[in-house]
Amino acid sequence: MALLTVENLRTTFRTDDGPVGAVDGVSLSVDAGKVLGIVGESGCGKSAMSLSIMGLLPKSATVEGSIRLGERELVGLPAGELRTLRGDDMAMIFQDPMTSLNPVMTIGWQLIEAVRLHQKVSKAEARRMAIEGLAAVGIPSPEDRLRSYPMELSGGMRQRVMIAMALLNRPRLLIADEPTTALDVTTQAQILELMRDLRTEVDAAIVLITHDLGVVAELCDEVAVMYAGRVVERATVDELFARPQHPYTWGLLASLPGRNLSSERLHQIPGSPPSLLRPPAGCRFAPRCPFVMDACRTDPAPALTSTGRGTAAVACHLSQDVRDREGARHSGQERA
Amino acid sequence: MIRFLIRRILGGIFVVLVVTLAVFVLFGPVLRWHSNISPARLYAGKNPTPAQIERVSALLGLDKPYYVQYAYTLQRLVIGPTQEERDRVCPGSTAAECDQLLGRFGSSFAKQRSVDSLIWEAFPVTLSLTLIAAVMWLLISIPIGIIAAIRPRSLFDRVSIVFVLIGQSLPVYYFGLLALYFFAYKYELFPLSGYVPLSDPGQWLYHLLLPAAVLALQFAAIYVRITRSQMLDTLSEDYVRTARSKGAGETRIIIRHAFRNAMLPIVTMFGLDLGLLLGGAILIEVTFGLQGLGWLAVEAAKRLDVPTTAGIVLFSAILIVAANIVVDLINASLDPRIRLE
Repeated sequence: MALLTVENLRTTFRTDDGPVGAVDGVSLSVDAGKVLGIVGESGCGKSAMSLSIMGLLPKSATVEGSIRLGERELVGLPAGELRTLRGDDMAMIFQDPMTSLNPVMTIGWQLIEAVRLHQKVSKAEARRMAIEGLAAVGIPSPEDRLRSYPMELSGGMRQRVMIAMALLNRPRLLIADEPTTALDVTTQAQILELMRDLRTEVDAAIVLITHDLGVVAELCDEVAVMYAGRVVERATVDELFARPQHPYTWGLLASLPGRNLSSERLHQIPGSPPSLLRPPAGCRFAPRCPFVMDACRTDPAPALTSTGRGTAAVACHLSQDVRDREGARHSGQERA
Repeated sequence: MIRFLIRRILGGIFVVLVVTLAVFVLFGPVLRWHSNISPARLYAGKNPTPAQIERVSALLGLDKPYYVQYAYTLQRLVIGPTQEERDRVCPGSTAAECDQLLGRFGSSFAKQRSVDSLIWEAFPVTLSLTLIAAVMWLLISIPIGIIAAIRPRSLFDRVSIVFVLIGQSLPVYYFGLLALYFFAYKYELFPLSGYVPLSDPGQWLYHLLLPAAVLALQFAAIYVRITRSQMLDTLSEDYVRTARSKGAGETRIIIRHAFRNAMLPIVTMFGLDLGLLLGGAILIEVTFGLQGLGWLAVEAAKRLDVPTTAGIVLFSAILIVAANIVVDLINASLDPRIRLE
């Protein structure tokens, strides 16, 4: 039984130039104890999707479709009820720990607030839970840290505080939106290691949003590749790296730095993502696809269809043969 | 924190020193060179003989070199007038009588009073007016600014912008007169002018409400604008989103997270405005016949009462410097980023 089920999610922002479909018919699901990676470049709708799930979008956005947390439908839920779920049943970690904590409140105040918003416990008890929470994410002398202000902690420590805060009420769903992007490389590795440890400890479903396939390979069970508001490929991590099926995924894999640090330039996908204000009629990747065919531009956008291998699915007009052959050329195995 | 305080106070003392020097130079040598006005000439009566001017000059200590005069001005400001000056200015009177004539800020010969006693008489009026107005404008503007920021572009927001424009563009002397005409003269809701000391609180408030309201309206307009823009900024901060993701309610988010951060620049501005107004709200005081510092300054300037004018300038400067230090302390207690630097 999937803990989080998203069906045909459409998130539209009203802008002065017209509606922008940031998320355009996305379906996916995550089981408890599993990690789903969502990959794609900036502006592909991954953050808009996670904010839709949390109900954190501004009023200028409309969310249609279905988001179910367990049995509960979140789309159309009254704001008050959604609020009681936020921070309790579902929690979120954000990209930039430097700006995500309130600068004028102590770490302790912010952690205790998180506990007491959802649990009827005394201040002392909430404080004890906060200390435990900080210890669990590897913060040294957690009792002293309660009195610290965010500015007194490094970026890595702040992100640990954010993670501790998200886990305080033992959420069933944890959404991590690029949790390591704003950190320096050594800190990134530490936070990733922490998240790997935590995923075995907390029995939550985790949605990990990233643009870094390396992070996906380290942490995730399944992956959804998003492009221009849509999921173009979905598979288990092993399957995706062994037999990537979508030309966009091939491009992403080719852009990963390899083991041999030759002077060779990194691959880049030519062009840039389409405007979501007026997306291309057919396949949205067609203008940048090296394998583009006439049908890609004229036919309606391809639907996500099973490749016949487990849960893997791809949205592409190319024939299975071509995809298998090209996919093998781009598979992550060859580089690893 | 203690070091922070000491540093601020030392800085404040330095600023006051610079102001005393500027005041001394402006009202002494500059005035003399520029307009050929010398205090001795002013106080020597009509058509004085050179000998008379010289006598007054000696009485006021103006015959000494400028640096001696300045050093003595500073000394008098800090520890009060010397016995020598007391004997010179008010010979034969008791200490209490002489205090009425000579003080730390010098002596107003036009009024035959010490500048100190004039200032301490006028200051409570200005202080009362400013404090009542400040309470009014904060109570009006902060809720309006917050609500306008929560619902930008709403009808409420637009109406508040109109209010801001009216408040900012109506000059006090015009709006004050309108208020006087309607509320004091035509409908007789408030007294036309005058001040009643705090010993009668009811009358005190009754006499100050109308001028304070006129003053408050003008400032409320500015504070609505700054509260709104600060709140719009902080409401879009990442930590506000974090608070939302924790499941905090809207009221809590607005007050504890957004406004707590938005108030820092408001506190700064408030302290400076308060310091400025305490030095005399000239237009309001003159319009409503309140004999506060602003009114005193206008009177002194009209009579070319140099010591009083210089005294008020110096007194206001000290108030503004003090307000700055208080603002810094409040900000440091509100914002760890300042405290921990």
